[in-house]
Amino acid sequence: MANLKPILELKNVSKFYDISRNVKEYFTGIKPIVKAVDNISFKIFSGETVGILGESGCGKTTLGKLILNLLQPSKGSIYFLSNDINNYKGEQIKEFKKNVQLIFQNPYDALNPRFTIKNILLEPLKSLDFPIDQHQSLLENVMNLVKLGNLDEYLDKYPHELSGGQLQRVVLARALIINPLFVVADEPVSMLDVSVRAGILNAFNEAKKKINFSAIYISHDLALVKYVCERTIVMYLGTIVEDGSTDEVVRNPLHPYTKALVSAVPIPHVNQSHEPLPIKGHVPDATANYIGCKFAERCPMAQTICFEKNPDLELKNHNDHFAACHFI
Amino acid sequence: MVKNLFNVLKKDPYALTGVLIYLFFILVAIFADLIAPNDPLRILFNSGGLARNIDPGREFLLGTTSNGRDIFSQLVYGSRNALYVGLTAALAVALVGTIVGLISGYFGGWLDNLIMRCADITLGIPFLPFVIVLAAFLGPSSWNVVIAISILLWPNSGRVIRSQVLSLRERAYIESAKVSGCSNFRIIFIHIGPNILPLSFLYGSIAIGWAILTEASISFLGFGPSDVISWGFMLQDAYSSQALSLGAYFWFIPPGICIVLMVVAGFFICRGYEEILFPRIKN
Amino acid sequence: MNLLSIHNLSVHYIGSQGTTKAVDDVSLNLKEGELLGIVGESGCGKTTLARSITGVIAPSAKIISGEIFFQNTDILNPTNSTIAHNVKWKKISFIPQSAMNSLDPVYKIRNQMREILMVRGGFNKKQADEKSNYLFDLVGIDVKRLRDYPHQFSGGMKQRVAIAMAIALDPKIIIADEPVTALDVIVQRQILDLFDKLKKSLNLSIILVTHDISVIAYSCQKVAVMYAGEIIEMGSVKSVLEKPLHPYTMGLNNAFPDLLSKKSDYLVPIEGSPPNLLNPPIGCRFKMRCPFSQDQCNNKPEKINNSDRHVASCWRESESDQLRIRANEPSTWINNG
Repeated sequence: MANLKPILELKNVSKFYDISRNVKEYFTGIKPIVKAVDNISFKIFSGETVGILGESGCGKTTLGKLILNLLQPSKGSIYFLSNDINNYKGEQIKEFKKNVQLIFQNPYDALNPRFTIKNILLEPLKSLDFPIDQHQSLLENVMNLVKLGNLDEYLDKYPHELSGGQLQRVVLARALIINPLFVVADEPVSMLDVSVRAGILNAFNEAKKKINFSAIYISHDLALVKYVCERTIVMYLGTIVEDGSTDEVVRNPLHPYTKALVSAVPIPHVNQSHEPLPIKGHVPDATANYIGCKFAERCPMAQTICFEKNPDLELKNHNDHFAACHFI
Repeated sequence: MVKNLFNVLKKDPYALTGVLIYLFFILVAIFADLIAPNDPLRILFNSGGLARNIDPGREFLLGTTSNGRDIFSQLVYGSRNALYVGLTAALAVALVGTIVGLISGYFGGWLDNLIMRCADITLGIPFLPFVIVLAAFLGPSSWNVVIAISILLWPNSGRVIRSQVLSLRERAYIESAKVSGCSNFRIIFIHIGPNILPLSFLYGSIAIGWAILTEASISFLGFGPSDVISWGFMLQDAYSSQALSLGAYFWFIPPGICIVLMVVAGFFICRGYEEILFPRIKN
Repeated sequence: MNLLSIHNLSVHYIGSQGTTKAVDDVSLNLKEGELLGIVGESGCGKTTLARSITGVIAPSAKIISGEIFFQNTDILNPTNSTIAHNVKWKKISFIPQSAMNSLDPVYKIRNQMREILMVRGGFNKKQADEKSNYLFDLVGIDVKRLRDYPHQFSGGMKQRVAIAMAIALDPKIIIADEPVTALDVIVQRQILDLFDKLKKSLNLSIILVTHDISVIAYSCQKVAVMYAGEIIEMGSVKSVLEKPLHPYTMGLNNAFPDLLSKKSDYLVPIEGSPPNLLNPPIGCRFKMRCPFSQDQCNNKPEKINNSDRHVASCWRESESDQLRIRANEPSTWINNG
């Protein structure tokens, strides 16, 4: 395992936003900073699909943008195939974009309303200088891959003529037409009806098997993450609190926050627990400065040390299951 | 988009009227040589000597000026100048405004700041006095109006287009274009451009009317070229010849009407094209 | 005793392209102290149905026919308009979708609470403030927050404010349209628990409209499943989830990702999309997507009336046990349509 190089690696990556609102803050030097992503490190290996699970404000979308090189990290480095992506210039950036793609959340907004479906799908090929003689075959391949059905039927249509599910298949196709090595999926089904979600997720899973890309799947829905990802990383206020195989994380959550998350997910069964959640209070102010564990003030098992020292993400059992807590 | 254009015309009588008015004047301007019986600047003589202040009749459809020139021919040839000034100015405003708006809105930062401050300053310059000063420096000519309009009118369209670009820039499909490796240039012209072209046309239409009106004002004030016939020139001529007290309504009313028609046509077209600007994209 | 009884309600939208039959001949009952769920996907008419009960419908929507009985008085009948007004104003309270986004951003919460209590409830300012404090306590927000503006609240807290506003005038029924959809799962659970607590302590009846079956499973005792403007199945939550009678409900169960399921369990979508309600198909509206449709489905199956038993609107209801077994096979749905 140690000999395999990860396809993506983050080392101590942080992203800060300065949100000073008034002059007084400038002068007193106490500037409120939002630590959207705070000292994150992890590796993803080829072929893995990793879920990034967390609630709003945990930094998962920012993490996605950092990985796509749409944002620069304030600290730390991101390595794709062992190259630091923030040192890329010119041609390297193009190569990177051929390898790393994004699947959007909102199918209604992710496609240019004035382009036909055909042009939408060919756009990445044109931008990234794929030879024209390849265009048609790549187009046919990807349409078959996402099962958008009869090619001729859809190619000349405009986005407003398609349903949400069909649109999302187009979004998926556009991301996969260039055969990327790595895909960032940002809540790709959260805006779709339930009976349609399954279709997109299945298409995603099958495409994964055929093209064999690696992916991160960003979501706040644990049930969806479970369906798609073998491994899950749980985020809270910009830090990773747990990292392990999805099965392990769901059946045997180690971190108190994960425990609360897992018990909070409602299931489509009648006999489910109505026990109060093992968590206190609300998600705190993102600008607050933390010494110690960020979850401490909401944690049912917090002790003095939790408020003084921030726990590191450590291996907690032999199942490759990591958690950041002093008491496991 | 072209399909859309025809559909709108069919549905909206205002837009149709506007387009027809433009078409009419364009045809008149093109075929002016055939339509106008006389050279507009030529001083005419008839059996009674200098053909001055003749009422409208069979020989001179709209009568003659105090200098013996054929009013009808002047009217016909005036359309050329109107279109020339109007369309050139419109093009300049639309082009400059669009490019400025695209660059300013898309790139933001110090470039945006710089451009917008220039816009602010430009908006502070009073229009007619500027044209008059220009005329004083460059000599009276139709070009003055075109130059002045290009220099002074771009902030209006530029600002509006910029704000449209600002909002489009944040849309998911623009972000996806970036992720797909689209260069900034390509994004601006292929992705954002088509979405703001309707706005450019809108401001262009408004500029046509504005230009014609301004050219007329300049000529009326006496700062326009004296060797080119324009409707404004006709109004100035009529005024200085005291056409009102002479009762020569046929002299100054026709050019006035023509100016109004051109300006109003521009606005009518804008009204009709709202559908194209903001099409109801079904969700 | 039925607190609310809806009989054969039909609501149509009159538009430039025709008439959309958004709610078609719907009947259901709500007992006192009951938490009824209405589940369905977007466009099925559940929001229109919810809004019709309170009368807060769009100008283009018309209630074509039907009766809504609140404690034995038909509030749709014009002769009962005074009672109806009181009922819609105070007795039935509606929490619209994204209620948290409908708080006026330029007024402090205290003022918005006052407006409801004083204008609609006839309280004076002092009484209104006292009641506001009590309500905030009840929904679990620090009373000091009454001084704040909406933008200073988080999503979950704004939803609590919306709930506080909804119970301000002591309603007997609350209708909540997608109250937890936009919220994170932990906050969602807290809000659902709040609904339960309020139901018990204030003896409320609640209608919960949502597209999420898991939410219904957690909170409700009874559920009505809507599809294309009609209620196609109704019964206790246990019965409907464990032994669905209608093929749509069976399909819906398969499409829901379940945290407890085995990894090999396959999510099966229902191919196709709901019919256009401008021109609904003749007969059963689900027949185009149904793997079990037969010729008889070209005629409309019997509508669900105000029954308390577990019923479904399907010709093959009697065969539901066998159909359920087939519905569990992914192949049934994939080779369909």
